Amino acid sequence: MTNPTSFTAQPGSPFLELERSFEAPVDRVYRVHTEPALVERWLGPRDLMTSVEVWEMRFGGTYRYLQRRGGDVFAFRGEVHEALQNRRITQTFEFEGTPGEGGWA
Amino acid sequence: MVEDAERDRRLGRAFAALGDPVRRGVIARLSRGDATVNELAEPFSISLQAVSRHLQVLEVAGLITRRREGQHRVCHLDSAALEELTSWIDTYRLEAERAFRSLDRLLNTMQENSE
Repeated sequence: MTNPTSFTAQPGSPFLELERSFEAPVDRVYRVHTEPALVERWLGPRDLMTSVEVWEMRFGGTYRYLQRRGGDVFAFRGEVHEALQNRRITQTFEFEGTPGEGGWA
Repeated sequence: MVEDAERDRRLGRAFAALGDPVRRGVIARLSRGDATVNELAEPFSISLQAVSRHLQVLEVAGLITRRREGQHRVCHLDSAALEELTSWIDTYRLEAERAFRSLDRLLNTMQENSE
């Protein structure tokens, strides 16, 4: 039995909050978000292969990763505003567009 | 694909239609059963014409259908259309939960391997 994920949307705001607990020490949970080799082993939908291009989980850093399914490649990127060891990561997230269209979605 | 583009437009119209509190109120009422235009207008302080304009937006978005029954205009919720919206939202919820379960498994493996 896994822990439930809670999804909360505040009326009148464009934010969606997801909350999920993990049965593991906090430093391990922090590592799977900050070490590229570990990130590739869990991030994204199951039918896509994830490969990390850039992964700078520190204040002012950027990240970019690709996900592949068949001939399609999807790219995601963002900027890291905050990375407090074992406490909090604050980052942006952008999808770089749909295959065949290019540019920004 | 042409189908995907058409579905995308439909979802866009439906989500835009639900971006208004009067229209959300109408959808909520119709989810409990058909209603006449007058019945739908009752809880709101806006004019009947204004309500009719909202109903038109919902109809163009494919979320409701309207018909005549004698003197009355009766509105009906298209459940399949609403279902398309909720299943679109659900796709993302399910993907997030799948990724988190993968994360559970990875964390377990790391525990076993003392990583």
